[in-house]
Formats: sequence, C-alpha cells, structure tokens
Amino acid sequence: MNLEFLFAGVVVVFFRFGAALALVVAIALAGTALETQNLALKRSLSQQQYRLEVLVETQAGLKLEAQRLGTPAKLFEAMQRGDTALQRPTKPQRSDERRAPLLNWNKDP
Amino acid sequence: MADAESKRSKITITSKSKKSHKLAACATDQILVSHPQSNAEQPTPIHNRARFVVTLLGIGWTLLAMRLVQLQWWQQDRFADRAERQREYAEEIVSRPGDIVDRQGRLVATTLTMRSLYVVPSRISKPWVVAQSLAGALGIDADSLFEKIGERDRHFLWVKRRLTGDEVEKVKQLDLPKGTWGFRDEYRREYPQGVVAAHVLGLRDIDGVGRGGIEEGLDHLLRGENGKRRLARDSRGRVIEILDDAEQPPRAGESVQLSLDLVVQLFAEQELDAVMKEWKPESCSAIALDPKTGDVLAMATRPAFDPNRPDLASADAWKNRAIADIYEPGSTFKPFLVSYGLDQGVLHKDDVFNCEHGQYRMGRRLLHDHHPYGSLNLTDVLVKSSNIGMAKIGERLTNERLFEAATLFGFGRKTGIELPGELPGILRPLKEWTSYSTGSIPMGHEIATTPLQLIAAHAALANGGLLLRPRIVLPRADDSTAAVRSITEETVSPETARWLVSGPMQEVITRGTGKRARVPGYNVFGKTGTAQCLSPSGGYVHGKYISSFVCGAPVEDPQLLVLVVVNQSSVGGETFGGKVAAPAAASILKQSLVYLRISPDEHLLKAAANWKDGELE
Repeated sequence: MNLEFLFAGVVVVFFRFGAALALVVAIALAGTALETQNLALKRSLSQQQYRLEVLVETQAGLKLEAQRLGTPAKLFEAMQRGDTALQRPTKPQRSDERRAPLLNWNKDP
Repeated sequence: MADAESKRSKITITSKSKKSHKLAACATDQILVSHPQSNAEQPTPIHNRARFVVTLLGIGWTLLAMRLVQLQWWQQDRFADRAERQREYAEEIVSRPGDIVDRQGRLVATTLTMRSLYVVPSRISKPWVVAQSLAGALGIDADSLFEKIGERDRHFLWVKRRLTGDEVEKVKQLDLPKGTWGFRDEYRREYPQGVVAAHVLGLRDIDGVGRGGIEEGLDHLLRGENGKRRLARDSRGRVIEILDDAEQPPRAGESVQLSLDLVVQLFAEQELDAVMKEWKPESCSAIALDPKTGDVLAMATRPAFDPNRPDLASADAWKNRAIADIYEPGSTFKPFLVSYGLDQGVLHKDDVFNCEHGQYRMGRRLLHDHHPYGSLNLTDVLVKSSNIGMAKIGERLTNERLFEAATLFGFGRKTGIELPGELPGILRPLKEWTSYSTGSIPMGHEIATTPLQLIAAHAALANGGLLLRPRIVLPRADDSTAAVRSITEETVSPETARWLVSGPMQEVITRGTGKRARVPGYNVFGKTGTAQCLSPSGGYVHGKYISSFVCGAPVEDPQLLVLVVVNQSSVGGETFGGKVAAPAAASILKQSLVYLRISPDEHLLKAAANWKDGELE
C-alpha cells in the first residue's frame, strides 16, 4: 500500500517536474525563435539600409557625371570648336518660357 | 559539562592526528594536562585564537557586506554609468549636405562619399616601410610621412583624406599590417560647373564647413542634422553590436535652388574673361538681374577660383566683388536724382540748364565737363552725362533732397541678398555733407556703392518705381517667409520711372555715351559711368578709373538688366564706361535676351540689318 502510494507520488512529482521543464523549454525555444526572427529582421533592415546608401551614392555619382558631361561651358566649347552640328541662334526660335523638364524630373509637374 | 568538552577536544585532536600517533599522544597529553586548569572565567589560548579568527572573519564579512551594499545600493547608478560608458560609445553620423541647383535644375554643387586613410602610429613596428609604401601609392612625400608616423605616442593620424577610387585600390594592395590602418568615409563636395558661379557658391572646407557664398549663407539648410548611434564594444574596443534602441538618424541637408541661370552666368563669365584679356584690369564683375522679380540671373567676378581646387586660388580671387567691393558710381547714379527731382516737382521734363561751355565755378570749386556744352535740356544732361548740368540740378534739389533720393533708392544699406559678406556701401550722414557735396553727389561722387546695390536701384526704375530686394535663392513652395523677404518699397511714380527709361536712358544708347551697347532687334536703355578710383588712405588714385555700364531691354517691357563694372584697366588711358564696360554688358544682354526667348522687334531687326549694311557705319 505504502509502496503504491510512494510510486504514485513519485509519478506525480515527475509529471509535475516534467511539465514544468517542458514549459520552461518551450518558453526558451519560443524566445530563441523570436530572437532569431528579430535578428533576421534586423539583418534585413541593415542590408536594405546599406543597399539604399549604395544606391544613393551611385545615383549621386551618376548624376554628377551626367551633369559634368553636359555643362553649358562644355557644350559652348564644343560648339565653338565646331565639334557639334548645333549652332547658337541669333534670335529666339520660340516665345514660350524656357523650361528644362529633364533636369527637374524629381519635381511635381 | 567540562568533562564533555574535554572529551570532545580529545576526540577531535586524536582524529586529526591519525598520521602521527606520537604527536597525537603528545597533544592529547597537553590537552589532558592543561584542560583541568581551564574554566569559563579563564579562556585558554586556543579559545582566544579562535575568537580572534572568528572576530576577524566576522569583521571581514561585515566589511565585505557593507562594501557590497555600498556598491549595489548607494553607488549603483554611478558604477552602472561607468560600466556602460566603458562598454558603449556614441558615434556621430555625419549628415549628407544638400545639393545646389540653378533655376533650371542644373547641378552646381553635390556631395559624394569618399574614403580617407588613417594609420595608428603607436601600433606600427616598421614606420619607414609603411611610410615608403603609402607614399608610393598616394604620391605624397615619404620623409614627412615617416616623421609623423615615427611619433609612437600617437594613436591616430590622417595620411590622406578623400582618396580617389584608384588610390583606395592601391592602398588595399599594399597589404599593410592589420590594426595599423583603416579607412573612414567622409563627404566631399563636388562642383561640376568648375569655376562658373564660384563666388556665389563659395565652398565647403575639408571639415565640411561652408566658407563663403551660399555654402556659408545657407549652411543651416544645406548642412542637415548629424545623427547619432550607440555602439557596444568588447574589452579590446572592437564593436560587437549596434544598439539601435536610441538611434537618432541623420537628416540630410536640403537642396537649394538658386535664381541663377547657368547659361546667362556663363555669358557673363565669358565676357568678363574677354574684358580681363583686353583691358587687363585689376578686377571686374557683372550682374544680370530680372527687374520684375529681383532674381539675380548671373553674378560673376574676376579674378575667380575653382571651388574644386581651392589650393590653386590666388589671394585676390576669393572676394565676391559684386557685393563686397565698393566704388563711386559716377554717372550711373545720375538718373536716380533726376527721377526723384521730377517726382518731387523740383525738376520738369522741359527744364533747360546752362552748362557754361565746360567750366563752372561752384563756390571755391571749378567743375569741368568732358565736352563744352552750352544749354542742355534735362534729357540731354543725362544723355551727354554733363557734370555741370547735374551740379545745377544738385543746387536745385539741395542736400536734404539729394540725401533723401539716395536713401530712397537703397544706397547706404545692404540689399539683404542671401550671401554673406555684403557691404552696405557708404552714404555719409547728412550732417557731414557740405556745399561741396551739393556738386559731388549729383555726379555720383562722395558716395560708394556695391555693384548689386546699383543694379537693384536701376531695377526700380526699370520696373516702374518699385525697389525690390534682390534674391539669389528661389523660395521653396512651403516657404512662408518668402513674401516677407521679397518686400518692396516705392521710390518714384511709375510715370516718372517710365519716362526716364524710355526717354533719357534709351537715348544714352541711341545717341549718347552708350552707343556701343546697341543690340539688334531690341530697344535698349542704359547709363555709362566712369569714376576715379578711391584710395584706401583717402582721396583718389590718380589715373585709375572704375568704368561701369548698366543697361536693360526691351524698353517697352524691361525683362533683363545687366551691369558690368571694370576696376582699374591698365590699358587705354582714361577708360570710359561706354568704351570698356558697355560692349561687354551689351554682349551679355544680347546673348541672354535670345536665350531667354524674349522676342525681338522685327522692324528693329530690319533696321539693324540696314544699319549694318553701311547706313551709319
């Protein structure tokens, strides 16, 4: 009788201990999973930030190069040397206001 | 009780003495002998020692406990802060400066990220080898680099900042010892237009601080706001984590749009280069301005510098002479007094002045005209630029009105343009004026102005009498202060201003001192000016002149004003404004009118063609 009682007690204790252990392990695993996910998101954000910086830098470099190649001074020099078929007009060809939409592509129309 | 104690002691001593029976026996004897003598009132030596040890241990533990309480309770915050400081440090993230573009969106200043090379001299074991390798790769002097690297107590040394891509690759290939060198990213300002508009732009120095021009004047907008991030590092100082909980991201600088049009600016710069070549002056400057809005379309100065290579600039190239050089305006000042006199009813359009055939005594002073004129009407006084005629106008106006006129047109105070270093000119207080001033002021002497002040005042005549504040930065759509900043003042009535522009100032071009400024297809108005050069020690510099010319077109609806000021030409003797400055101003005006698509008058074009065919020349 006592032995049975003792056995039942041990089972209960083990069950409780096992349940508590399982709970702790489950919480730890969930925490680890969350942390992993968090780190992955952080890494992803960092990478996106890095890519954005690279793109901004590339854009700045390309914009600078494009503007350097098309400076009015360079175009005038080329026209004066006769390197281009363009000629300076002696009088206005149009009467509307001069605009340069290609240079203002990032602005609202 | 005593027996029990002696028994316990005996057992203890005996059990501890298993290895040496003899010693145990001896010890037992001692205890057995000594024990009967001990009692509660007379502690034995062993009791004393035990108590002493226990007491010491007790005190020790108490001290430790107190220290623990001190550390964990009272000084917790202090030590926590110190530990945090050791582990974490805040790194500043430099913000990217904004771009500068012209009114059409052409890029005039932008920013690129470059790499700068540093070394840690205290960790370099072979300084000469490192210095030689780096000098070879970067094209710098090995000896001076060795001297710096040789200072072993230094922990940081810039070798070269803002390297090119090739230089970075070369340094990487050197395979220098790890931990002794590194790169840091820094921003470099680039000016794709080179020397064009350099004085307006200014530059950013190696530390990213705006120096001169828009870079300095609008630094608060362009600079942005630096960010901050906290980094965690290990005991060796290596970064192990970026703590993003309190990150403050940088805010990039705003872009600024100038009122300049780079093509008009280029016309001005090219003409100034031609003037420098032909007349070899000390300096010259040009401004093109829209008289309706006050927008500065061009502002150029010679000598100039390339903001990409400031190290090559000469000492006299830094000054923006359009706003920071003052000179006596000479005859270009005359129209303001005439318009004011007309508006006040002191002068009338049909007034005639006796110009005394070239010589007129005014008090103790003898005035001269360049040509002996008899009687001239008001228009001709301006067209011929008669000093005697103007002195007589001065007598009629009196000093009070002359002062009022000068003040009304903005002389003696800054225009308020968004550029640093603007001078207010010189307009002495009225109480310092004498009878001499009555003759000098109407000729544009005894008063000093900047080129910008002068063209802003002429813009008031061209736009019907409104003195506008010139601007070089276009307001943003959301700028609520734009209206306040573009505040205007009324000077003279529209009728008076209109008469002056379409009458005397147009005739200056058609039959007066500014004939060289005629532009085919357009009715041009203008005024020449020649003044002696002011000496820094007072008085005038003999034989040195400042020639200026201001012109605008079309007369019917003025769209553009151009001013050219040439300082101390070294060839050509007395260099009149109509001879030195007028052709350059007219050329800028002509090219700009075509570029800005301002339609010419076909009849005038035909007339100009006939004129060119030899009718007048």
